Amino acid sequence: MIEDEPTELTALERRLAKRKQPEASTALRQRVIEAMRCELSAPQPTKRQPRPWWEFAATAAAAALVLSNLSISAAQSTNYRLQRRGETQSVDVTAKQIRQLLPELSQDQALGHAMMWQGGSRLVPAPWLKPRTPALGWPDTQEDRR
Amino acid sequence: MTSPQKDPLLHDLTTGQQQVLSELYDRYATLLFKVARVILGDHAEAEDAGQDVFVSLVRSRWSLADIKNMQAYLFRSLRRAAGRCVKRRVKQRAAMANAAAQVARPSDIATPDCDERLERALAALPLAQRQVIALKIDGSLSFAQIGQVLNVSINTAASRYRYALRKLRAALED
Repeated sequence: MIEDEPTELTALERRLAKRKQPEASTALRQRVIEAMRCELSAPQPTKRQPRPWWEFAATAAAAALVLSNLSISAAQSTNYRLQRRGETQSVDVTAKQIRQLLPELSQDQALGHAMMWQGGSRLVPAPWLKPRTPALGWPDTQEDRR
Repeated sequence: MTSPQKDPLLHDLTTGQQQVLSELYDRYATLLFKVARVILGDHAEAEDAGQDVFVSLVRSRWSLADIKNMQAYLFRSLRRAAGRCVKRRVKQRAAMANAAAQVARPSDIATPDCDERLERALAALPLAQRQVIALKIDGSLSFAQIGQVLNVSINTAASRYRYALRKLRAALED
């Protein structure tokens, strides 16, 4: 049985409760309130826009290419992990989409994307890669592709 | 802590009213500071952790709409802030090749007015037990509330408390 609200405190508990402790300083009060005031005056952060699904598909596919030799399921699970980390938000990449993208990705690009992903920050093409199209090396439209 | 009423200060905070800042501080700072000091065993770090809690509260004001109980929220936030302090301290100590140091530093705790022996015994407790003592004695929380703050069961909170008291008693009898 748990004695959640003891009716009688032991001598040790009374001693603990009555022990003297230094008070927080008035300087701390000013410091904290000033810090809160600064924070309060900061503008409301804008909601982060979800990045295009193909950025993540590219990353997932790249990681899969590098790590598991073109395995679609590995690409999906990589992407799933990205989603769980909150990086893909509402983006849902299907195996079909990844399969469509894989032939577009060169080994160098895959490696570049995977390296950037493993670096852990924004997904941008590695600078030493020469992308085939402006955006992450991926065609935006059929026209660009040509 | 189990009250379903939403804290009115929270409403003022989300609407950006300046006067709520000092009200929030005056209402919760003493309690938070006392608990932080016992958990961290260091006056300056306790102040830093307390400041972290308040600043985080203001920073997160846009997402606090569902908070039913400010005190519970603040204690949870304090637990995280204290955890960051402990991690930072461990890293600093490792850098100074002093990894064997205790988490709490009794020399920082004792002041001429304090019960030095008791403070030293408290500082020697494992962090998990010290947290429960701080929340129970200094924060006046029930075991159920402590369980919510620390993400442990009520039984775990109660047993940690009992173990802590037993260790304190033994230390004070030596």
